[in-house]
Amino acid sequence: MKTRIKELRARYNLTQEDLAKKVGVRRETILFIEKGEYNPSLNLAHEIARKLKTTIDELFIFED
Amino acid sequence: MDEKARFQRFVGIIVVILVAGAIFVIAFANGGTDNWATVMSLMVLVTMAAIALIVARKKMKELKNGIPSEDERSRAIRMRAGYLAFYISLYFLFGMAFFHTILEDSEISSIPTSEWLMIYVAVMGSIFLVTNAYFTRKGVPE
Repeated sequence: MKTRIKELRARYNLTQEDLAKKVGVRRETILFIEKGEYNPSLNLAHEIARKLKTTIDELFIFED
Repeated sequence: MDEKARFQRFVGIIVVILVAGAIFVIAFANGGTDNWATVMSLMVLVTMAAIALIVARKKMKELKNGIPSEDERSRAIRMRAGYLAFYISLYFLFGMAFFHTILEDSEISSIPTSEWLMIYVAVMGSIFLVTNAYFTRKGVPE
């Protein structure tokens, strides 16, 4: 799974720590999600998408 | 439960464990038990206190910076590490039982059950700490 979190973070000038604080998780969690090494829960994915003003579909790219 | 209450609960639990451990070690030392067991118990207690102090300092720093002490990933890591620690130490327990039976007249067999139990708990705790640290750095396998 790939994500566009890094790209969108840059657009809104947010650091990993800023985003982590906004969605109530630790910075490492954002780091691992960005690297595609951790699959967030639906709730967290929704929360991240909301904070980055996008949708889950736009944020996460699932590869077949 | 908010972060401050969680931190206070953590400190409370640690203090209770350390006080109970200290009473246990003192009773152990005064009860005429052999020296090795007392020294081992004391070492375990000091190690626990040192780890608790490091963790408490880290948690306090995070609390000040508004970082949550745990989230869904850290919970997943802890569950995975706990599962592995339990599973591997169960094999260790079977191994110990096996050697205890095979080596009936050896020195291994002369170790009392209470000390085997201490070794078992130490092994389980060590596996938990190592796997927890590993998954925190490398990520939890899906």
